[in-house]
Amino acid sequence: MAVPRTIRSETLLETIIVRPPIDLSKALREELLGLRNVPGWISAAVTRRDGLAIQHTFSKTREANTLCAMAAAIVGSARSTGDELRQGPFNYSVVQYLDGLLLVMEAGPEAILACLFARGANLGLALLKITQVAKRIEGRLEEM
Amino acid sequence: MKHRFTVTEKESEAQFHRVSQDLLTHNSRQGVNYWGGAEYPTMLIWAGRIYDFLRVLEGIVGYYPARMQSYRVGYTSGWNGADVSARFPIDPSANDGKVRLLSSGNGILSGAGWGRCEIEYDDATGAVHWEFPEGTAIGLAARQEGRRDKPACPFVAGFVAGWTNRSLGTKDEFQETECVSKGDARCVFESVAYLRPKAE
Repeated sequence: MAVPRTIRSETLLETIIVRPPIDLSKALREELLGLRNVPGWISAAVTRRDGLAIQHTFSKTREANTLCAMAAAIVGSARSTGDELRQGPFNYSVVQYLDGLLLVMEAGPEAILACLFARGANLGLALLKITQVAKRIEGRLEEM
Repeated sequence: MKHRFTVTEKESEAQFHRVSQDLLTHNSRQGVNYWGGAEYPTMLIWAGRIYDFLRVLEGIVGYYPARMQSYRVGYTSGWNGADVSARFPIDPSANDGKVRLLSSGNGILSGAGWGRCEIEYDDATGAVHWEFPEGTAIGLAARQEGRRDKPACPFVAGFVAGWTNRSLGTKDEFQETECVSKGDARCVFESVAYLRPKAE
């Protein structure tokens, strides 16, 4: 009897991830690329509420998939924390690293926007821009 | 054309002896079981503990991210199960075609104690429907802990997705449309083109 080799779950992720409808994917890519003009912007991703990537600008899909799963967990845990502490709805999350800045924001009820910036990026400007983009993403999703 | 595969109660009994006894070997040195000649250590676990993965995680990160992580683990289980089953020399028909491999999924599930189910596959539309008329073991375990608002079986949704996709060569998602833990009479999993989960 042939004994199958162990299948690692990360290789299976490719088969789990379903492609979003082309029009949806295309519209969101345009919005993400609009962030290029923000100084210090590195990359961005839009994910479904459950952490499955919808669209991203990362060079490695694996990187984007991991970020999307984590962005959904960040939003989910921040919402849970807010509920627990009775602090109202989630607004956005800023995670500052030695080398970079990760901003995570809801883009309406069904999507989450995660953006990676260089450490020296202007946080105020970055927040302003991603808030605008998040609203546009919400609008695009509502239309579809 | 619609294909429908069922498991009667009598067949479920026979599958139990095949899946949970004949196909299981015990490594007494390790005290570990192996199934179907595959290298995956296999063990009995309470269905309620599988439900706990979802319950605990959703308490921290919320339902949808917890659902997806549970779904992913179930997906790997379903894919691997179909992969191992496709190699059974005692069941050569499973290698004859994608649909035959799909059809063997419910026998394995009932024989392993996950729940007796019926699979319906429409090869014209590609729609696949797995229905557990008495509920899944995980759904029944969740029901014992009280009624839920959201389905308790993303692990099984992932499993049937993995089994279906491995069998048919598709990339379908599955959604739990009915769940005994929500008060429904049965558990139902349906293939969907693209899910768009929304926060309340």
